[in-house]
Amino acid sequence: MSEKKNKIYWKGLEEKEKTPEFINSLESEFPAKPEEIGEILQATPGSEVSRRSFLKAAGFTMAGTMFASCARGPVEKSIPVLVQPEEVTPGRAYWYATTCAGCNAGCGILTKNRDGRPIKIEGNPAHPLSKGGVCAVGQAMVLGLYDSQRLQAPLASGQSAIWEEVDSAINKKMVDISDNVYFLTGTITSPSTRAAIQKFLNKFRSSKHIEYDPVSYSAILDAHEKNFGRRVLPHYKFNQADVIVSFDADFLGTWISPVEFSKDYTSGRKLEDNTSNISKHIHLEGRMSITGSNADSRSRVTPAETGAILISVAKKLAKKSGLRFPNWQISSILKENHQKIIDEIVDELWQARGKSLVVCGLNDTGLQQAVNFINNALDNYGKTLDIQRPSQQWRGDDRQVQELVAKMKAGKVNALFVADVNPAYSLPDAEEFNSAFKQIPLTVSFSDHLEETSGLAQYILPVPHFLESWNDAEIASGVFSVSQPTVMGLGNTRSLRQTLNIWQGTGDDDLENFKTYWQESIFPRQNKITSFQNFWDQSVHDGYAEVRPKPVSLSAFRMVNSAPSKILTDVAADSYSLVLYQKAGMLDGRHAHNAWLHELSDPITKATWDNYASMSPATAEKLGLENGDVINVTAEGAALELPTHIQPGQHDQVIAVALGYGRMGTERFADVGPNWLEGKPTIAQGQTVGENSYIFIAGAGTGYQFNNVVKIAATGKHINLALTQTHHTITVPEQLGGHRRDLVRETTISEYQEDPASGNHKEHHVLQLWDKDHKYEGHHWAMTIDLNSCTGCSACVVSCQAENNVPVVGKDEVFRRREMAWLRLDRYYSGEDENIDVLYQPVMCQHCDHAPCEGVCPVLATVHSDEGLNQQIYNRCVGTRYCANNCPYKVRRFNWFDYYRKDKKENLALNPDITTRSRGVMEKCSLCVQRIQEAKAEAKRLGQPLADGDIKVACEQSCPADAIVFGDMNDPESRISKLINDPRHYQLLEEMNFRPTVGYMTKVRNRDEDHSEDEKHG
Amino acid sequence: MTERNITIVLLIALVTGTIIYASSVDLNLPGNNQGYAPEQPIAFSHRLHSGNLQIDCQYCHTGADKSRHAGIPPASVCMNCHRFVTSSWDDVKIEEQKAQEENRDLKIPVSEELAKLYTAVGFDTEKMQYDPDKIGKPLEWVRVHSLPAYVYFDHRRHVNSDVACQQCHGPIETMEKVSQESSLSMGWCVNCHRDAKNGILADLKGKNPSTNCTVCHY
Repeated sequence: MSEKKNKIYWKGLEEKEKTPEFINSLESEFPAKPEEIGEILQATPGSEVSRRSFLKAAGFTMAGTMFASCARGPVEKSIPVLVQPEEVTPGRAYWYATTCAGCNAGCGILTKNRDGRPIKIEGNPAHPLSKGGVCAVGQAMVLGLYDSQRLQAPLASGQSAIWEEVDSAINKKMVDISDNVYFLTGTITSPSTRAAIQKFLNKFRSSKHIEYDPVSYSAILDAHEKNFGRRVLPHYKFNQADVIVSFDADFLGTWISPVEFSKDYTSGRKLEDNTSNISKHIHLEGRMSITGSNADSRSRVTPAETGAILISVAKKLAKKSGLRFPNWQISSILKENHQKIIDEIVDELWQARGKSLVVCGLNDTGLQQAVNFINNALDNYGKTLDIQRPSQQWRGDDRQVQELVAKMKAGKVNALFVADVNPAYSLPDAEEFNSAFKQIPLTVSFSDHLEETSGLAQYILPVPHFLESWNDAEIASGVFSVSQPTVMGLGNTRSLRQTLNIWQGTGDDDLENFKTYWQESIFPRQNKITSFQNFWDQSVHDGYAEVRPKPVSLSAFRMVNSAPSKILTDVAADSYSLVLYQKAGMLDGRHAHNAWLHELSDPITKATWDNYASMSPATAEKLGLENGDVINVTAEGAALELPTHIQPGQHDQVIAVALGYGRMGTERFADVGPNWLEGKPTIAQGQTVGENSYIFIAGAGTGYQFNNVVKIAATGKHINLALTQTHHTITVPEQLGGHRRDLVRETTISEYQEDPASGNHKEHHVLQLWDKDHKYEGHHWAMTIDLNSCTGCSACVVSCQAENNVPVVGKDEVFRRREMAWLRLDRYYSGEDENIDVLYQPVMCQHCDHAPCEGVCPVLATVHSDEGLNQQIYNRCVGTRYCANNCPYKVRRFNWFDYYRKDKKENLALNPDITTRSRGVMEKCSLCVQRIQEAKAEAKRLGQPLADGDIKVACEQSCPADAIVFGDMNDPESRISKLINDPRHYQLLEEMNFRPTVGYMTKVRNRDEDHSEDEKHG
Repeated sequence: MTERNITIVLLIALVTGTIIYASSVDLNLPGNNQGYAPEQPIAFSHRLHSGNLQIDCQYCHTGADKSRHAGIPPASVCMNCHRFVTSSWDDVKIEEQKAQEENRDLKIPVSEELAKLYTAVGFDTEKMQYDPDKIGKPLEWVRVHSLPAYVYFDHRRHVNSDVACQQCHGPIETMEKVSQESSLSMGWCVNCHRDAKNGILADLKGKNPSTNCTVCHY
């Protein structure tokens, strides 16, 4: 057996270095000490209130209140509808299958509706691609629906207008225009909308529909055009690959279709029994991404080095396979230690020919050609990636966008229609775009907000939220997702397709037109169902339809000799390589109005409400920078002041900045959160959340590159970053020994195959306070979370927030460790510099059978149920906070305020099945007891016993990795019982004998080195 | 005035106030609305419909067995019968007699209470058909049985466990005007759950209702 070593886990550098502030913060559950009441009273001059008069006043107030409340309450009305819609029973949820439009991936979702409005989004398990997963962004879309700043009516030159006026005004202008009409949109996955745009543009000479993705995959498409003769985006199949090599592609976080990829990736890494083999994942990147943090082998390299390594791998594989690879020069970039990485990749890939997959996240056509070359040499096409039935999720073409901007500048565009994209924000040369945009005779924006681009347009035609409209999405060839409205339109909006149809006189009934399109174009592509009505009903019911893909004619693979561009230039010693990336919550910035996503702690950095410049600890030390020190980041023609964030595991010469911040309209968040004496605004009045880093995008004339070379300089300013990483750190106090077993446990695949319990520690000699335990005779609810599957995507966190009415508290309250998330995602680091390992651990109430919180509650507001739930009774709680103080897992959250929402419309997103907690009340994870009760009531109604899997708690339902399992451990056949008996199963602080019913499964890494610890204890 | 005097005045006010108030209305504990029987917009009689006519409770309260809320019936449910029944049988006979005496055609007699229903749904009693232009506002019934927002009572579980409606709502089939029969306090709920569990309630033998907090509070 290999040598064993102890691994030390830490959540933040302050924990690793044990700074005095950190040690202090461990001492108290609630950091901010409230002022003594006496101090407040004495602080008011001339008000010397004696204890006696204070008590008297209090007594009278109470007696008066009691007296008043003995009277009847106010009269309540019960107003039934005149005619009840069929199938709707007040108080019963009903579900619609539809398609998420949070990004272009087009995941199948189910919306839970109550009383005519959607309140929760869940994954559609039947959907062929997303298979029941939803990401954090998708979960948050229900809040976006009730955004009061969504446009309600058309605007003409900034003035509110009615549709008829706007239509005729635009038509009048169009009469004089006969050519050079352009549509600039994001990738439109909806075939019916594309057809409508095409039909509209056909009337004009030299008109064009240009698709533009702010975070572009253009190079992948262009490379396929060069290599195979068709501009396609492959459909990647991570579940078919034994070896996955990712060159800076964050496919579990934000790349192309992360939910589908997470499903596929984790399904290839499930450990059914100890003979299981799991896929091997090698990752190269400069920053620390969700995907990189999950890799079995991760190397930190700059973007230039990534490209150079990719090309060397291609060259070596060319030799092995006897194919010819162009002689692209890279030698100057490669360092000595890269040879080992290259050899490892080549060996692994060559052994897994036909069962491997190489992906690359750099938007460079040359590098993407090399990727295609490798996948082709390894015979992966048709196996782990499909270009016969390609993905249709992203089709943006950078070069066409740049050509359009050039034409706009030359005054050659007569009319520009912009939809579903925000170029005035996301183009690197936005100012040029803006001034050219204003010169165009007719500009129309189809947008749902007043934002950077739409604010410049002559006409803004508001489009509905995707939960309000009919739509379709072809996400892979032949795979159609269908959207149906789940709520009556909240504003006077029209979809793009509807508007175009009205302009062309084809009727204003969007559903009729949409159905006609399906009858003519999609129905004939299948022959399973013969009647269109049946086909339509089936497709709308299921939320998707699979039909014959359109054949793609490909030419044989050939390399086109166009060497990679300036991405392959090494960075000078005094400069840094800038990596622009998307955060799992904020993506490209399209959801900047969503408070849930702003407050979601980033899975890696654990930061809320901001973007920042990440750098490695060594770089920060070299420059004498601390977290929050503002630096000036300058590139050619662009500069930005950003706070420093120190990111372990990042390359020393890489600066990483998130895109999607600094959006117009985020000024609205200035007063998010409670308004009180010591409260500070989340952002200063008039400022935006974060800064816009799109200005750093390079690559004019070729394609957009999300890398640049920058210089940095300290400014001497400092702003605090709202990091949650060391909040709620589980610790064992000195007086109890100060020692705890590892909270996260891991092993390697070879160790695991030898001993499935490796890396785990099971036998504890614990003392029993009670000789007999409570019997749980009916159900005994339990949960396990498989750390081997959890990718850290944070979908569960937002799902929990949506289901359980968890409020947003704002940045200032986050500083005070008062974020309300019931489910937090702890992220642990271990190792040093190059070899940082990451582990994720979702932690919620552990529902201990011997719960320490229960014994200390003076009013029995938290007690145990006979089904093993730790119950929190809000209406009984008086807010002593003893329970939170006594909770070893730090999962209890206190309502310091009534976190009411000024935006009353947002309250429509509240779940009516859950109490909205008021000020002074403790709350925490209830294991979605409302879902347990609902499932039990339904089982009783149908006269059936409750089956395993009938209850899916919110975090479990949408987990794209299927890491969370909930069930009844009294049922020996249930999934949960089997997992609890698995040798990988363990509990947090098991040695303290709290008997949590939430358990975890060890992480198994596919690598040879060994990490398990083997310490004896008593 | 000294603080002492204020205290005395307040004390007297409180005591006299309590006595006057307690003797004028029946005083309940805070939140307890037992005996509450408000006027309803239409003097609907449960005695007539449920008692005399023996209409099943769930004919109108359709949610009772499948939802948390039993539901106040939408006006369209009333119209199932009242499209045809516009007044009491007595009124019909009186009108018949009158018409005979005055030697004229029969007019359709419409009761005062039902007229309110017809206004709401837009029903023209002269033609005996709906007039889509005349659709009015939904009826605003006054809620009698109301639980605090932090209590999640589920009708469905009780109805499917064979708990009779009268167990909680009292002899509703005899009530001309609905009144809250039970206190609906937590103690009242828990007592019944406990008694049913212990086999004290004869008609709920074999039932095993839970007394966990999270049965109602979450």
